[in-house]
Amino acid sequence: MKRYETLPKELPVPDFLNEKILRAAADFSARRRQKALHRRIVFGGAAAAAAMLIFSFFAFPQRREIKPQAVMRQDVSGWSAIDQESFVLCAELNSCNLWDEEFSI
Amino acid sequence: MTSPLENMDDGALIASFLRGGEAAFEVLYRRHRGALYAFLTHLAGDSAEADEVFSETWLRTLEKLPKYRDDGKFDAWLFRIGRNYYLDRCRARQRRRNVSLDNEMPPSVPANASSEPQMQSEAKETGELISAALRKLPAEQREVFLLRQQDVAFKEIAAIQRTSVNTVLSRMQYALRALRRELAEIDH
Repeated sequence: MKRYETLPKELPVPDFLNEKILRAAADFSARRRQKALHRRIVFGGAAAAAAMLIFSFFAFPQRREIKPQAVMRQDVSGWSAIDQESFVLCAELNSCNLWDEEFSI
Repeated sequence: MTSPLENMDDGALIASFLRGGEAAFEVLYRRHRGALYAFLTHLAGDSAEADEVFSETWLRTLEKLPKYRDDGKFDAWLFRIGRNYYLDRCRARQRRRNVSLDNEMPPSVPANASSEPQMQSEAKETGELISAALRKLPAEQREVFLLRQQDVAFKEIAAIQRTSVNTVLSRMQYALRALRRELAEIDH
């Protein structure tokens, strides 16, 4: 046997080191599980929000866009600024279709 | 009866651990801890230093595990992490004390740094002589010898030391020559 082969290839590791490292591994594993759970919650939440948005787009009546020209069909030139603004606001809130010929104020 | 984990290779154990299998890491750790501890103890020549480097090596290994590329050489990768950390510590000490790294001689300690109570066998005595002779080698030669002793391929050692295979072979040659000379002197 060559003499340098008597140098031990392995040595026993002290218990306190074994405990320290295995504990660190357990902590590492726990942190990874937590991160994975957090990622699932965040992406799950984002996916749910996106689904809700898409659903509400189809499920609820759309507000019709109040086209500027539709608003101007009503002659508001003689109205005060506040009345004009209120008119537009009411139209938006009621989702009136101001360019609908049946509509009349 | 061995568990199925014992039959898994290192890459499979790592993959299992990263999927949440804590027991897989324990098997991996127990498989490599003795060799790493021996390598670092002989490299550092100081048991307290070896303990510190050993534990930090495993902590760093844990953090790097998600990036490990399974090429079947986990032990070489582990030794590289340990060796690099040990050198970082030596450089930090060198900066503090302005001592040349190559000339730095670790304090004299028994070869078996685990301090077994009985140390009477001839093999153990020879091991101590070799360990003492090793400490007189330049750091790079000592490293090559110890890594080779752990069956790390010369090509891997060259990658760890960031040099050519020829340089590694030369270092090994010089190391063996120096050790033979040292041990021959002790015999006489």
